[in-house]
Amino acid sequence: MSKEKSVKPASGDKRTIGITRANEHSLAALVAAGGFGSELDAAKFAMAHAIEQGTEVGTIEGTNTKWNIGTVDADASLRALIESFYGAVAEPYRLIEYLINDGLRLLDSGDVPPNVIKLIPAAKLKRVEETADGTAD
Amino acid sequence: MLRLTRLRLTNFGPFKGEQSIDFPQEDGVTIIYGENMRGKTSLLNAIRFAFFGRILGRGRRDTALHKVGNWEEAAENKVFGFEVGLDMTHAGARYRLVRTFKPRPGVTEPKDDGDYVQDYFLERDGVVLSRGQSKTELERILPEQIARFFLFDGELLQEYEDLLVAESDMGPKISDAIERILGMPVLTNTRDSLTAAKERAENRHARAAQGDQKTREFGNQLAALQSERTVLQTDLERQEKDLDGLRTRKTGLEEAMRKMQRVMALFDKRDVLESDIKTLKEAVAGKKERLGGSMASAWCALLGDKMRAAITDLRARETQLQTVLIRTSVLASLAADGQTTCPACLQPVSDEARQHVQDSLAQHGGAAGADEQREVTAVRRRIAALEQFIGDANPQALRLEWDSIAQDERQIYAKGNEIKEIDAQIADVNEEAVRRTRSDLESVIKQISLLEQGLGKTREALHNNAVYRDNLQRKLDKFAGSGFEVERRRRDLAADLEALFVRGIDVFREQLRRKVEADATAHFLQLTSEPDYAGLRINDSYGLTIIHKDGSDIPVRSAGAEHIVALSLVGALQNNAPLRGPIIVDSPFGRLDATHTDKTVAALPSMAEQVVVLVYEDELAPARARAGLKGHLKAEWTLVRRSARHTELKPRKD
Amino acid sequence: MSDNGDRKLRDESLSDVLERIRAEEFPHIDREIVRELLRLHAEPDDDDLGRAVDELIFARTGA
Repeated sequence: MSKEKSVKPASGDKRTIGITRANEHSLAALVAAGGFGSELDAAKFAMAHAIEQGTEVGTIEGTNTKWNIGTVDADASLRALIESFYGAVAEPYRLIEYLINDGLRLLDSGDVPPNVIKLIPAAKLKRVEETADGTAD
Repeated sequence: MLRLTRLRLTNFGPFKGEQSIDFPQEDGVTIIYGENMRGKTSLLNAIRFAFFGRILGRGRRDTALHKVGNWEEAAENKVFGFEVGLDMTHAGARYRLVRTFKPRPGVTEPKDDGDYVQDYFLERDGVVLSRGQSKTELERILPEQIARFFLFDGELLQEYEDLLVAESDMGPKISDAIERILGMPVLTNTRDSLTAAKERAENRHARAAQGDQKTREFGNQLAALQSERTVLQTDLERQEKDLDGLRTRKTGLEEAMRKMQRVMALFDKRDVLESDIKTLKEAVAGKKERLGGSMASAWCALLGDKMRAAITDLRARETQLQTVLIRTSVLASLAADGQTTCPACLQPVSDEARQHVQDSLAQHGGAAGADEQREVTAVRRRIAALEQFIGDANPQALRLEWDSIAQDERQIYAKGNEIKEIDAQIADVNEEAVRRTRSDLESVIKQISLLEQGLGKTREALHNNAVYRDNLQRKLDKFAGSGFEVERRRRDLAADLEALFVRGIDVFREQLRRKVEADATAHFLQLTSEPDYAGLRINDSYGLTIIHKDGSDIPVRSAGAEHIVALSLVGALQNNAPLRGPIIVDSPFGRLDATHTDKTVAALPSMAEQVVVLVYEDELAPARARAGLKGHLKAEWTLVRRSARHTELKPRKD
Repeated sequence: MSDNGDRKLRDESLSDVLERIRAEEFPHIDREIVRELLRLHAEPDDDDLGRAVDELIFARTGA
């Protein structure tokens, strides 16, 4: 069992995250198509899309500096989320950056804006088993 | 009465070369069969051309004559122009009318009407009449203004039906034409003549009075009043003419306003739509702002399932770790010296076991379960984070917000399209022009009011003038004196004659109307198949209303009914006109059903002594015509196609 | 107007109508002048019409 990470990012982990030039168009299109209030909200959406699509651990180079970790994940809940899905990774914020950019890549379909509302799952009409939450529709 | 004997055509329309048709001299009906475009309308136009030097095209417009010459002759033999000859009888005399349309001398390839010259010759009983005499004779035989009641085609009947609608502007014009055909002008002209003669007599009377010292003063006054009367009369005529013009203009403007009413309504609708769109756009903007806020947690909705699965796993791990931690704390107490029983299971613990636990703890830095403790903290943190995110997700609410915006945007789009449609409809309309029309109408109404007041004043002045003249006249009459005694007698006679004719006009007009009404009713009842129709009633402008047998008016008529009413009127006019002539009609049955066609066919012989009908076979089958007319059918002809531009007139032999 | 009256009127020509009115309401006017006036006005447009009418009147009222 590896050493548990502290709340502060490891010395090697990113302190800022951003997107590649190639993904700028996709981010802009996503913000517009999804009616997001900010680029960060859209970026989180892209990240979630990548996770949902099964993107595996990776890294990306050539990103700009868009957001501070403190802005992105003030209470480290995002890190907790990542750890839930990917286990205790060495550099969670580098992974988050990778997921954001991979999500943007997946959502980039050239001129056609992404159909954001379609990605949001429709209400489930029946739940087979109850787990922690019992929220119905 | 006028009766046609023979029509001769030379290169007229599709009638190439010289062709002729003879008309039977007994009373009855001649039928000429021809498919459309074969030359039926040309035949009618040939007769028009012969009488008036003009032909009518579509919409009753004059058509250029240079196109009428036969094309094949022009193309093949370079023969241009045409000629129409008409033999007829009228009032016991035989007439031959020839009218030509030939290229000017020296023109070999004429291009337009200007390259041609028209001329005509009229012979009466073999004697060629002078130009002046020809003109007068033709005018007497068939005045152009009433030609429409003798030569007409289906299109005219339509126009005629429009004119029968009471308040149209054309009403007075056509009732003039009708009265002309009925002989009224003789009476009205005579009356006007006598009015003028009376005024001349009055003037002479006044002058005579001026010549005598005793009556000079009266004479002067009378002369002055007569001058005033002339001036007032002129004023009155001018004012009446102006009023007429203003009323026509008002009708035109009201018509324009009616059309614009529709447009104004469209303008208003457009304004409402634009306001709606503005409201919707504001709503959408607000919704989009709120959406921006809601979308902050949209990403949570994407991972709902995964998060719930992860929580399940994490809770399992938590349970595992907790078990380990409990066991560890148990072991720790075991490691303490002096313990011989396990606090948990109360079993004795051997020394070896105790030593083993102490070694193990030492290996790990002495802190029992520290790793597990750290991990369970992390797991709990993750569970908390995931639960928070699941709580934030609300995909249903998001969808509702999106749908609401989409619906608004659809409405904006739809209303935008409505505006585009309205714009297309009002594209030609100048809003400025609409406003101008409205103000023009208001202005004309004011002008009419003013003018009517002015007219009232003029009439009053004329009336006063007449009263003064009357007084003076009576004063003068007390004076004897041969000079103006004679003039007085003349004036009295003229006045009496005028009164006689005025009375005559009223009586005759009323009598004519009754007669026309009776004859039109008789024709109508023959032509209609509706048993509930009792007859026709005539109004002042010779408009006819159908009367139901219960006495009420039939207000709205079908096109077929109008057709029959028009035919009834034509028949009645023919019966009553001092000017009698043939009826030559092109396709009168086009819009009638079988029953009415049969009835109209049967009624034809009673409409005029000589009837010529141009039809196509689908409109009236020969067998049907023969059955309907029997002995009244005197001749049948056919227009036979030789080529697209060559038709031949042939008697029908079948 | 009675039916009989109608039928009578229906057959009256223009000159018949005038003659009837003359006889009933203007007996002092002679028949011939009315006929002459009708004849004069049956022709279209005579320039001397005014003078012709005056002459008719003068003839009956002494020169």
